[in-house]
Amino acid sequence: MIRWRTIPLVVLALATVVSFSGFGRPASAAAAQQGALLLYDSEAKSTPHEGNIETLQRLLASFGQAVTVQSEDDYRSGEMSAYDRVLVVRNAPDLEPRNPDYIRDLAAYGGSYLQIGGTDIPKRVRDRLALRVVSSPSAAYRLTAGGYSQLLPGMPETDAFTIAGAGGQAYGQVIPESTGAASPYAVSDGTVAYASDLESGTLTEIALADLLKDWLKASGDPGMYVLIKEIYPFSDLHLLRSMADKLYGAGIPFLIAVKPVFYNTDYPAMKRYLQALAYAQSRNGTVVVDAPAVAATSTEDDRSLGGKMTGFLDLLADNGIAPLGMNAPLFWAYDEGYRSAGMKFFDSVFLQPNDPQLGISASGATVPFASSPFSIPFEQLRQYRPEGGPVRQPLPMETALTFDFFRDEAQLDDSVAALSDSWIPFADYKSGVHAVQTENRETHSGGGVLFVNGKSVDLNGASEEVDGDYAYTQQADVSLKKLFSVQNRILMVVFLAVLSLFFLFLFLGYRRYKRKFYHFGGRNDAL
Amino acid sequence: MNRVSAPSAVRLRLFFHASFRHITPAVFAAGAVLIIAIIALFVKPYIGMADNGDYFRALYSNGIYFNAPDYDSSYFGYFVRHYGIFQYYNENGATLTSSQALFIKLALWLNIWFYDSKTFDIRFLAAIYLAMYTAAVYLLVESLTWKAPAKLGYAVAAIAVLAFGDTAYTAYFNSFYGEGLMLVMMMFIFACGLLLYRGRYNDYVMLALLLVCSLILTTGKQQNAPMGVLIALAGLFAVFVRRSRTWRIAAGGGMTLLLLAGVASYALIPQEFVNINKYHAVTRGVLPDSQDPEQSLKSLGIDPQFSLLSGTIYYEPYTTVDVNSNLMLQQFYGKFGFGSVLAYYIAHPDQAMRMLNLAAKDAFTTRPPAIGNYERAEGKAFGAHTHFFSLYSFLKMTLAPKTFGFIFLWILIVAGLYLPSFIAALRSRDRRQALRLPMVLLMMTIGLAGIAISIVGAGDADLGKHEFAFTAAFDLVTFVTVADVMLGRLWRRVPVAVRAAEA
Repeated sequence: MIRWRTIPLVVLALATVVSFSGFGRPASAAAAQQGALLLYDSEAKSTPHEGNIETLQRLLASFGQAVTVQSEDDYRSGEMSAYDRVLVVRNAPDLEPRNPDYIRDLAAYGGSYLQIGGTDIPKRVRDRLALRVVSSPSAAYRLTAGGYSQLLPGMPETDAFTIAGAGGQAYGQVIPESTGAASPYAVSDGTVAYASDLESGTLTEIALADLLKDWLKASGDPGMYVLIKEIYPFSDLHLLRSMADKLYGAGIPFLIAVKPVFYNTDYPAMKRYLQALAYAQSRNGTVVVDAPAVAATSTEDDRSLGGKMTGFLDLLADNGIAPLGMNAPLFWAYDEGYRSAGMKFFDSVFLQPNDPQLGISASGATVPFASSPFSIPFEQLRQYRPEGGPVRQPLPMETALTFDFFRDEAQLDDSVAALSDSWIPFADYKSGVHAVQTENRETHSGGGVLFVNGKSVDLNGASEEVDGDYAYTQQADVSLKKLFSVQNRILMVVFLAVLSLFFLFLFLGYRRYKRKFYHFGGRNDAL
Repeated sequence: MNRVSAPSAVRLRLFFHASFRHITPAVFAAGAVLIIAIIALFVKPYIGMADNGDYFRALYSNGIYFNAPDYDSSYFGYFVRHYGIFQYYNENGATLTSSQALFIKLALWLNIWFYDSKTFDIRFLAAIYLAMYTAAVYLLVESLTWKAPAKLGYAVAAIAVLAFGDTAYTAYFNSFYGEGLMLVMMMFIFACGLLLYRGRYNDYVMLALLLVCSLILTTGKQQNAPMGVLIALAGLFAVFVRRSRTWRIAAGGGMTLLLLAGVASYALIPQEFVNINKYHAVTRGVLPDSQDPEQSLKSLGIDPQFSLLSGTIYYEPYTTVDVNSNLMLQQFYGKFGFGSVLAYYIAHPDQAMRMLNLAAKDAFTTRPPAIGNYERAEGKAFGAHTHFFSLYSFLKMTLAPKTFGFIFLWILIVAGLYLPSFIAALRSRDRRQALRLPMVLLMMTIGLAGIAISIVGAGDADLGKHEFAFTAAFDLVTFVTVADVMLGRLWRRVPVAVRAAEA
C-alpha cells in the first residue's frame, strides 16, 4: 500500500525534473531574466500587416520570453539598455523614425537584435549579416518554411522587400512569382537577425518561429496539442461526450477550454456541465479554463475577478476536474489588472489573438509562462501545402491546433478524420508539469497523471446523479402554517363580502341619490 | 385715523377682490408651482438629478458631452449642471430615436444664443420643461375648478400645489432623464381630456394639444410605445364628443396616427436595447422566482442549461458568455419574444403576482433613492436628497401600502366611483359626459402598463426607475378623484360650456 501511495510523488518529482529541462525557456537564464523589448513603428491597422505585433507577442510567449512592447514614439532615452534583446517591427517602412532618443539608442545598441520588415536597418546589423534588402513588388510570392509552403498575395511596392544578399544562417525561402528568383525569408548570425515580413494567419508565423527558436536559443522538443475552444455550459453536452469518445478512439489526446461559471453553481445545469467535463477528462482530455467574457462596461474598480476565478477553480477541483491552464486573449497577459487577478493561478496559458473590435493597442509588459503553446487554427494549418513525407514534423514552437467546438456530429467526424489524416504526432498536455494554485486547492499534472491537492484524480469515478427535484427557491421557515392558511381563507371571505356590500351600497345609494336630485342645476352649480 | 384708514381698507378689499377675480384657482396653482420650482431649480442650492449612466445616450447624440474632469465620481451621487458643447464634428449617431431630443436641441440653441457656445447649462432644459409644466398644471386645475365654488376651488388648487410642486417631480427637469418630459406630457393629456369633457376651451385646440402631447409621450421612450396604443383606444371616445364630420375625421385620423406612432416606436427600438431587455426579462424576471427554471426556459423555447444565468444582469463585468455573442443571439434572444414572456406570466399567475408585488414596493416612490439631488459644490453627502417641498412624496412613500392588492383596490374604487356618471352619460346619449371615465381609466392603464412593461420587458432590473409612469398616473388620478369628491362632482352631472353642450 505504502509503495502505491509513493508512486504519484515519484512521478511528480520526475515530471518536475523533466519540466525544468523542457521546451520553451531560452537556454540562457540571464536572457530570460532581462527579457526582450519589442518596438514598432505602426500597428498597421486596416493593412495586411494588422495584428502582426500580437502574433509576434504570442510567438515570443511560446518561447517563454518576457516581453515589453511599446511604440517607437513612446520610447524614452536609455530604455533599450535594460534589455538584452530588442525586436523592431517596421510596418510602415515609408515613414522615417522621428523619435531622436530611439534613433540614437538603436544606433548604439549592442545586444541581440531582430528586425522584421523595412530597409532602414542599423549599420551594425547590415554589416554583420552583409545584408542587402531590395524592394521587389510582385503579384504573389511562394513562401517555404518548416516543411510547408504557401502562396501569398503580393504587397504594395512600399512594403514588399526581399533579401537580395546576406551571410549567416538563412531561414525559409521566398520566391516572387514575377521573377522566380529564390531568396531567404530571414537571416541570422545568432545575435542579429532580419526577417523580411510577418503577416498574421500565414506561413510567415512558422517561418519566423524557426528563426526565433535559434535567436532565443530555445531548446527541447516542442509538442503539438489539439485545443477545442468555445465550450460553454450551454453547448451540446452530448456532443461534447461524443467528441471525447471519438478523439479517444482515434488516439488523439486533446484539451478543452471551458467557460467558467460564477453563479448558480449548485444548479442541476451546472452538475450536468461538470459531469460532461469530467467525462471528457476521463477520455484523455485535459481541461483548461477559458477567460470569462469581459463586459465593455467593466471598470478597474471592480475587484471581483479573483474571487470568481477562485470559486470556479475550486469547484472544478472539488468535482475531480483538474484544470491545467488558462485560455485567454493576449491582452490578459499584458494587462497587470487581469494578469494579477485572473491569471495568477496558472503557470500555463494559451494566448489567443485579441478581438480586433476591442481596439486594444499593443503596449505593456508580460511575464514569461512555464508553457504557452502558440495557437493556430487547424483550418489555417490545412491551408499550408506540406512539402515532403506524410508524417509532419513538430513545428519549431509549442503549438496548439485549435478548433471552435463543433456544431454537430458531421462536423465533428470531419475534424477527427482530418486530424487522423494529418499524421501529426499529437502530445498529451498532462505529460508535462502544469500547475494551478488557489488559496485552498492545488491541481497539477505530471507524467500523464492529474493531481488535486496532492492526490491523483480518479478518472473513472462514478458520476453523481443529477437531482431532478432540486429546490430552486428556498422555502421560508414558517410556523403555524395551518392556522395562517385558515386565517387567509377567512380574510378572503370577509374581503369578498365587504366588496359585495360596497357595491350593493353604491348601487342603492346611487339610486336614492338619483331620485333625490333628478333635476340639474343644484345649489352648487351656481358658479 | 378712521377717515384715512377706511378708504384704505376699502381699497385693500377692492384690490383683493380684483385680484381674486384674476387669480383663479388654476392661476394660483400654476403660479405657486412655478415659484416653488424656480426656487428649487434656479436658486442656489440648485436641485437636480445625478446621472445613473443613462445621460450618455441623451447627451452625445445631441452634441453635448461630459466636460467635468471628475464626472465619473459624480455618478449617482451628485447633480451636474454644466456640460460641454461639441465644437467639432459629432461622430456620435443617435442611439435612440426620442422626442426628448427636440427639447434638448431647443435648450441647446437657447443656451448658445443667450448664454455660452461652449458650455451647456442644464437649467435651459429645465426652463423649457417648467414653462410647459406650469401650463399643464394650469390646464389640469382649470379642468376641475372651472365653475366650482371659489373656496373649494382654491382648496383643490392647494392640493395640486402640494402634489405637483413637490421637488421629487420638479427635480427631474434639471436632468436628462425622460421622466420629466413624461410627467409634463401625461399631465397635458389628462388635462386636455378633462377639458374636452367639460368643453372649457375650443375642442379642436384641445384635441390638437392632446394629440401632440400623446405623440411626444409615445416617442419619448421606447417603453412608452404601448402608451400610444392605449391613448388611441381611449381616444375613440373623443371621436364621438362632437357630431360633425370634420371633428370625427380629425379625431379619428389623429388617433390612427397615434396608433401608428406607437407601433413605429416599438419597431424602431435598436436591437441592442431589445437584447438587453430580453436578457433581463428572463434572467431577472422569469427565472429567479420560478419553482422550476428549466421548465420555464423550455416553455420559452430556450435550452434549460441557460438556467445558470438566473439572477444575472446584462452588465456583469465578467461573464460565462459574452451577452452580445452569436451564441446568445441564436440560442437565447432568437428563441423568444416579449409576447411569449407575457404568455408565460399569464400561464403562471402566481409568479406574475409575486412580480407585481415586487413592483408595488417601488410604485409609490417618486424620487429614486439611489440618485442624489445636490451639486458636489454644496458639500452635501454623496447621494443626498433635498427635503425642500417634498412633503407629499415623503408621505406617499411612507404611508402607501406597498402591495399590488392596494393598487388593485385603488383601481377598483376609483373606477367604481366614476362608473355611475359614465353609465348615466351613455344612457342619456351624452357622449361628451362619457369621456371622463375613459380618461381616468387611460391614466390608470398607462400607469399599469408602466409596471407591466417593466416586468415583461426587463424583469426586476431597474424596476424602481421604470415605474415613474405609474407614480405620476397614481398622483394625477388620485388628485382628480379627490378634487371631484371635494367638489361633489363624482355622480352629479358636471357643468359644461353651453356651446359644448350644443355641439
